[in-house]
Amino acid sequence: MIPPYLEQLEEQVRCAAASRQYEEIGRLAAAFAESVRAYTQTLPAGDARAGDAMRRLVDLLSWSLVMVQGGRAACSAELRRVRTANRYSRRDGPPARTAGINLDA
Amino acid sequence: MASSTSSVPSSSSSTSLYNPSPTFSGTSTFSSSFQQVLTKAVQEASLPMQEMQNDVNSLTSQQSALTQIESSFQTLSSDVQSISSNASGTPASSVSDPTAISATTTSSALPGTYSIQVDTMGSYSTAMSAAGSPAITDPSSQNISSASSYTLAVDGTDTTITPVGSSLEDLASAINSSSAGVQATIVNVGPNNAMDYRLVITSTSLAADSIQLSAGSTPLLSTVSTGAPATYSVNGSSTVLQTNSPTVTLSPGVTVNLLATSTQPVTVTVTQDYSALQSALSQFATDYNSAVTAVDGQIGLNAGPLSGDSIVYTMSNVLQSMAQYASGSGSLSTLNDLGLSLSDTGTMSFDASTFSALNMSDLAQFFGSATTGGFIQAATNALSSVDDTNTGDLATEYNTLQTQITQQNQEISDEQARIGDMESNLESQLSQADAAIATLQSQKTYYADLFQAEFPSTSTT
Repeated sequence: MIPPYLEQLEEQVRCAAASRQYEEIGRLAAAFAESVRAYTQTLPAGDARAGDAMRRLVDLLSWSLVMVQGGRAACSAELRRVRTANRYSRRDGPPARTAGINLDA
Repeated sequence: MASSTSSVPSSSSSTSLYNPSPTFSGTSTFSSSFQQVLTKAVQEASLPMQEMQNDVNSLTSQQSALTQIESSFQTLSSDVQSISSNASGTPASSVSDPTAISATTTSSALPGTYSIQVDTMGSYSTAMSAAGSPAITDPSSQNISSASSYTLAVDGTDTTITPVGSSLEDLASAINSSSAGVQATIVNVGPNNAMDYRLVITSTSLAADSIQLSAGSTPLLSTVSTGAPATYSVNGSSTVLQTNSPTVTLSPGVTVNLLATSTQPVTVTVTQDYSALQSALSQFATDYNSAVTAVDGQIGLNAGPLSGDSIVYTMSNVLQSMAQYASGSGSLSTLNDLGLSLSDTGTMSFDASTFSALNMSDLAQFFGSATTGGFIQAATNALSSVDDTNTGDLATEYNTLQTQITQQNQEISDEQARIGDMESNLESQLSQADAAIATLQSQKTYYADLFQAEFPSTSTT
């Protein structure tokens, strides 16, 4: 068990990861870790709750990492979709001639 | 090569288990592949633009072909106009004695035969300055008078002459620049070793004009010769005509120049010349073949970019309608009767001998005009239906292509902007994801290690 305020912070980290708020994840995770660190310092030495809190922290970081990697994979998939998309059907007509396009890609 | 890094503060002097909050930075191990994916995605997304650009190139090629064909049709229209303007021939003249007279004609000249006998050529009145004392040996610095202004009287009409300088040359130049109607020259009447320059003034009309140049009240000239009008008679008339000019209007549009007297009447014959029409017809055949070649280049195997376009057949029909024109009446009914014949391959040729053998009086009915019918109207209407710069089929088609090109270019421009936006957005998303992954990886490693150190008997995920 961890205090409610830590659970609230954990929930915020999970929301940011689930909604792909990449810029928020790092900041919230750091805030959660700092809070866990401060919480464990208030506990007496050998208190099992310190270990539980640390485990929750590491578990949350692992879970967030998986979520962000999944989001990144989805983003890459979107690019691949663009690559394979053929939004304009080829028209009948004379053979294509070389075109000059400045794409600046 | 991108790599996963972390920056974790080293242990401080504090004995606390936990260090101050660590900071994480760097790039994830996914970054190297990320840029490749992104680049490929944008390249692939540009493929539709390639297709659109191909369309633009195709449309531009069609426009170019249209322009080329339009040029050949406009040349043909010009040929038809040339035929029209020369259809009735152009007046031409000939004279029986070119040493006595020359003749010129304009379009208003009527065909016919005239005769003119030049009795006298007439002459111009001439006056010359008196001998100077001393004689003028250098007309560029000396003069016949020191006056700055002179009065030139020609046949009773006075003109004030004010030379720009004081030399005899300045005086002659001022006279020639005036409107007195005379010609001033400087003549040396002395031997080479004793130059004696005089001012000579000659009238410009064949008449007994009196000429005098005065400096104040002092006359400076004496008459050398008194002129007389030329005399001639026309068409055997006993009436002797006089003229003050060697150029005589013999008839409306017929002018003769008197060159010498003649003992016999000189005959001037004015006829209609059809050589210009012959040239125009020959040029029409040449340009017709060029137009056919241009149109045929868009038909069949290896056809040009207009292949399959209905305008090709429209143009082909126009050419055929001209070549196969039939008047339906008159002794001349087809172009073939004029010497313009089509070969079995559709090539038009012009036979000058056939044309020369025609009765030219029949041409007017066959050709007609752009407004009264005949070949000219039929050809003009047919050609203007395709090559009129505003309403012709060629212009319409050209403008349609231009509209499509403009639209395609706009689509390309829009697509370029869309791809650019997509690229920026995806770059931003993936960069943020990479940064977050790097941070989380570092945090996880750091806290997992910390957890292991603090709770060695417990494992984490």
